[in-house]
Amino acid sequence: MRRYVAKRVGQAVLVLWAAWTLAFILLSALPGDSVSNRISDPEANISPEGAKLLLEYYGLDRPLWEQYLHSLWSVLHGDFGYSLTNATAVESLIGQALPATVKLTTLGLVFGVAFASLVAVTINYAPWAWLRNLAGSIPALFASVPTFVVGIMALQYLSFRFHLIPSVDDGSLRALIAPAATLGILVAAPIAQVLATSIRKTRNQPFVHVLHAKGAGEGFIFRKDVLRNSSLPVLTLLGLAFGELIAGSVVTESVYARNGIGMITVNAVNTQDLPVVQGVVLLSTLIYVAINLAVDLAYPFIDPRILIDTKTAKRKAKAVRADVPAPEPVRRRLPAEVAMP
Amino acid sequence: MRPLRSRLLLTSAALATTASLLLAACGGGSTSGNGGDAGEPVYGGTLTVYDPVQYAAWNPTNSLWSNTQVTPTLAERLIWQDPETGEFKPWLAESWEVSDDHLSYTFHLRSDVTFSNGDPLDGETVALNFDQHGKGDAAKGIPVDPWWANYVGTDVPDPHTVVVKFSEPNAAQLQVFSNYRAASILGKPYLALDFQGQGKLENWVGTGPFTVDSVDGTTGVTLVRRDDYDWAPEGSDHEGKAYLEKIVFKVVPEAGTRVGALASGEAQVARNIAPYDEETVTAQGGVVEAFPVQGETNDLTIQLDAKAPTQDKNVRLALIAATDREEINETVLSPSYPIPTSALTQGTPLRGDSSKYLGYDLDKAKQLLEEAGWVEGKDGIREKDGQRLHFESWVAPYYQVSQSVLELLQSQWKKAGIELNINAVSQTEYESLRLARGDKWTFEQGQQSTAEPGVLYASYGSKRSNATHNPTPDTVLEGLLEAQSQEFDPTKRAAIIQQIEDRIFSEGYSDPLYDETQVFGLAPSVQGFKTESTARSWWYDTWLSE
Repeated sequence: MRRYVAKRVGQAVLVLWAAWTLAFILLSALPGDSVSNRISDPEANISPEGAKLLLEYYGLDRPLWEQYLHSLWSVLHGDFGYSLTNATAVESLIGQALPATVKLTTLGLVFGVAFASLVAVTINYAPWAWLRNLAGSIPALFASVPTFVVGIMALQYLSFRFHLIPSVDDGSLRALIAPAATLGILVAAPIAQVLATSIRKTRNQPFVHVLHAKGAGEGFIFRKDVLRNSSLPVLTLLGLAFGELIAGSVVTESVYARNGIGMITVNAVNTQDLPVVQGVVLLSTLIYVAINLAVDLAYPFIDPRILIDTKTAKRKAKAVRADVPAPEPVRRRLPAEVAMP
Repeated sequence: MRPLRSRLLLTSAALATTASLLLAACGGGSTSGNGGDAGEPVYGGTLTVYDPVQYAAWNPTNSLWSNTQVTPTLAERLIWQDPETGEFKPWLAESWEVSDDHLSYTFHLRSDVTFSNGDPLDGETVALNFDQHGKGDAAKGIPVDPWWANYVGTDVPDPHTVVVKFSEPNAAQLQVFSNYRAASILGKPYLALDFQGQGKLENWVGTGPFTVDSVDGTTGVTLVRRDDYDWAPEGSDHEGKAYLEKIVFKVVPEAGTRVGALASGEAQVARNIAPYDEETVTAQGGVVEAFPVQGETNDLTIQLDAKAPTQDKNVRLALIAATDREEINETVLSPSYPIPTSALTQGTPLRGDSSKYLGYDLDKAKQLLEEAGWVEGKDGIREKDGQRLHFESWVAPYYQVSQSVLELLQSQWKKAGIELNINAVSQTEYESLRLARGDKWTFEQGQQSTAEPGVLYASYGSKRSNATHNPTPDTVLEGLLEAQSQEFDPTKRAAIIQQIEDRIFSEGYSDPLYDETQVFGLAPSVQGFKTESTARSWWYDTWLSE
């Protein structure tokens, strides 16, 4: 277990460094930079001497490799630099925006999982075929409606027509519900799809038939056996869904005018504010890596066999991850199963 | 780079036409409030303002539109320029004199003015401000402000007098002292900060009627009233403290939300109302107010270093004649945007009248092109020596109506046999293309805003912005630009400005498109909303009825 964790953490550090470096290279390769943009704005009216002074002030006149090493060294010492357009330290800019985004994405994920579970259960257990079919088309619908459309519709009706929610963030919980639901719809689609498929496959497993034969009720089997066996691929997907949550927050925060990481990212990318983009990349990589690490570490608790021996465990974790759409269910080798016809 | 000949044009054209018919009575560039029947002004209340653009660093020289709806009310100038007449009126300075050689300006400061931290306004502080603009401060990372050309220094003979000295006379100088981005007076604690520190709004120490209450990252600002404020510029509607108690600024990028919020009462002012949204605002009971941005008209400046057919003067003149400014106004804009009749927008002091150059004349355009040897080809586009009369253009990201205007221009020029391709790129890509130039960079859409005809010097002067990038400077134009800056008699100066405009349009350097305008949507409760001369909000006289 300890070696397993150490290796995963080591990989995480490597991923962080690579993401940070890649962001640096990509933004440096793009033509122009934040300060040059500011200088060339027709309204800014800055002389060439003034421009030179500004580039020197921000250290942008130094060779690229020197800029890279300098900022890497600073980051290792906890100094993420200053925003080139905003005169604020990157860590305080992100620090100010993070709580709002954490609230939004957390609630968004809760909504997403709730929507997805409801849809997946309906697809599999609804008593009427028409309802099962209707529910079956929802994941595709959720996946194909762009977030901003949902957002704008929600604002038009819930906010401007019926005055149920404020149209921009006023700090209240009420203002958070619509954006979180919008974000929830975005992540619900893949989760619902996978969970529905997974439940269907599990229900067709021989051991479920045996449980039925032994007289267990549908609800009991679902809670005790089906849900647990169906949730492993969903857990993997949740780690991936986080990426969508971050991407979705960019649009959601813009539409609902919420100050958060998404808003900062849009502005930083538009103005090529390198230190801020790198800060955001580092943060999202960190969270992404941490969540996937947590997911990896959570597997053994859902499927204890993963820890039976480390080598198998590692292989198993990989296999499960590779198998997202159609994973091997966890089989309890019940004696009865052997006896199935 | 993708060509854009969008079907959206038709839709937006239809919408805008409807809007312009309905709004015919609602145009103009008034700088006064929106109604005289709202009763006596009342004190108190919170005004919420929605702006589409995230705030950038708050350095005083930053002229970003969103930032400058906030800052001019925080820090003040020595003199106030009346946005309607262009006249200068006392503000922090109660009087001033200009020396006979026009090289020194003596300002007598009011003695009752204090900064928000309690410090009194004195000559020393004013001199520190002007030094930072005129000389910069390399140690603090503060560049020299190009608006302060030929600055020598500021003497402080007594605590309430400053003498600002220059090495060259400049007829546009007095206006600089009234300009929000060039001459706002900030307190000593602020001036002691470096470039980075000056970029934080929390650090602003000014003399204005409002002070900073809180800043929410790059998307929100709250200002509160200063109750001891008592030095409003001459010509204000009232004296003493401001009417509003609080102003909340919030960045709301989504246009639909800004417009919807006016009707639902969540916001009282929304900046940047698109032409096609103006009708929605008025239909909801709101008020659309348009303010001319004084300075140059929004034009396509012809880039003379481009290896394009525009090197031929006749082609340039043909482009100007083939541009139907009235149709642009009626189809993709609204009556809020005046139709250009000069190189300067309506309201700019001493502007000339160049309407004789700017009328739409398709026949003249065709004839000029024939004379230049461009004959109609198979598909209607003219050709010469096997070369098509083709131009590239790029949507200017600074102007929200740029793309729709270019799309209409494309169809107008086509009637004269001119092919225009439109490219839309991100702002950063646009900036780098602009810096890299190249043979296809034939037009540059833009304008500089200052309520002073000398803005033409700043724009066209070969040693200034050199807007045409003329490889061999036009000595006639240069001479006229220089002459207007040395001419202090307004009548004579106006005559030179007219000559400058004659030169610009007879040589075909600029193809004006529309008068640059800022359009605000106001809730019906907003009274006395004003802007300074370049359409930056001045919240002092604003109040809320009901």
